[in-house]
Amino acid sequence: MAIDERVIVETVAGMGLAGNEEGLIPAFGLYLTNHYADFYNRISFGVLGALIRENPELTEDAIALLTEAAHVCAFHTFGGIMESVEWDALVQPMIESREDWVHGMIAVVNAFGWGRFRVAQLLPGERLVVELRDSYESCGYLESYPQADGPRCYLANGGLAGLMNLVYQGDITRRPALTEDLYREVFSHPRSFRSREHLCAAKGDSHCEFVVERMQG
Amino acid sequence: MSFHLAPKADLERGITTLGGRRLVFHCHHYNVFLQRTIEDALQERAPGLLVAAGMEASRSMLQGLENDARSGSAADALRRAADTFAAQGFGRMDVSGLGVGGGLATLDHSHYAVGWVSRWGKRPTPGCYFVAGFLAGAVAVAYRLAPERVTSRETECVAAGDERCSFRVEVW
Amino acid sequence: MNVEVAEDRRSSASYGEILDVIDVGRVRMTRRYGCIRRDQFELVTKEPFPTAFRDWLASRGELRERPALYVIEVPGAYQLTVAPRAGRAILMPRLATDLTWQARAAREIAETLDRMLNQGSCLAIPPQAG
Repeated sequence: MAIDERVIVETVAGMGLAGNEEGLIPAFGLYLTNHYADFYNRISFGVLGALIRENPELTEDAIALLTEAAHVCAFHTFGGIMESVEWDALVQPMIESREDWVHGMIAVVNAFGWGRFRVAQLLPGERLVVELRDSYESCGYLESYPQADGPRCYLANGGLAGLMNLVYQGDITRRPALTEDLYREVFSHPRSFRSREHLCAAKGDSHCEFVVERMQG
Repeated sequence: MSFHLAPKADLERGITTLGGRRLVFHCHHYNVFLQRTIEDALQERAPGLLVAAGMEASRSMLQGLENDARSGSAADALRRAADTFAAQGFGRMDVSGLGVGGGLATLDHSHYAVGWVSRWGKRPTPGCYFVAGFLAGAVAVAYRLAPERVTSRETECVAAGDERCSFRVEVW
Repeated sequence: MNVEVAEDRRSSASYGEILDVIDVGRVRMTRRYGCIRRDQFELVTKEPFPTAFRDWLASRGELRERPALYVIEVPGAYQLTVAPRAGRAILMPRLATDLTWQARAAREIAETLDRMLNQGSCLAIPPQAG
């Protein structure tokens, strides 16, 4: 594997991603914000809590809403990054295999403040296992709520499924247009990837861990 | 002169903080999609959650910044808040109309408004809830007010077809 | 850049959708929809960008340089992010500029790049191995 994560993290962190005179951050073909983890956590856990209190039988549907937001995030954010000029300059020269697209994207995300991701296992086209420490979702959850009875890193969980779908289902290596049609095609496919967070710091585990596999379709 | 203070990054742990609170990079696609998800789910209750969360998050961070900065006037604190807001990619706001009694603030290129329009076009009502909350938090911190004394709402929004985004902050 | 064609398409376009593709000599320029106020312009060549191009850009604004990547910020105008060895750049105009100006600025940059490529100054950056 040729991906040098340290170089990628240090370069992205050193890119000076801060607002221009209009107060905007155009980067990776996107408009970024260096946003408040507290805000995301409050609105995500807030809406989930409200929906579950009112309709406990719809817990899975409520979680699915946040998972869908995470899939959209991965599709456009990770997809945008992997098709960006910054990627071409920094990561593409290190890529030797399709799997390096996964490792490269994980390295970029490690500069985004979400915590520290580490790939524990990657079976090409089949399975990804990722450990995450200092997840902003689980850390934020524990600051405001008692220990959870289930996982709470909805963004990271859906994001990792999205990453695998981009690399192995949507073939991001061919730089497809990131359209709504492609999104539906990729994420609605009966063999698309879904992620399960089976360890989560919010429920008392030492760290968070995700297993991403294809649906049995 | 910019009053913005740079975030602190711990690259080993993947953590960035400002004023003691964590910052995370996200793009406009996620920001406006998550907001829309919450608006669809909570309907008329959504603005309450979104504005309160914006106020709470910004107040915690800005209070931390003021503790670190240990400088001067309420006007300095407001400018520092506006510069920080711009450095974080939310747009450049004019807070010169704000004071101890509240007032008006404007924003020309709101990240949320522009992001919303780029994905879905215009919306019928203003949509920069986070910004409204941020302004309430900024006024509360600058003038050392209890948070429940400050409210804020957006009166004009680029996402709703207006020329710029405008916010009215009230102190009770 | 065909402004009328791009305008027609942008009335129903979504983020990132291609509005127009033209060749400016050896530079392929792709215009994509950004929002009602801004488009994005991609410049691609089959060869690396010349160092003279970076120097020309540096004279127009603030240059931020990382290994294998540089970004030119021209306040009030645009940001151009360049992967010189990959022969690719993205122009993100400021929102305060109008769409006609954005297309003109992109074309001027593409023409300058093409002119420099024709002068052979790309030899200053060897193609990347692998």
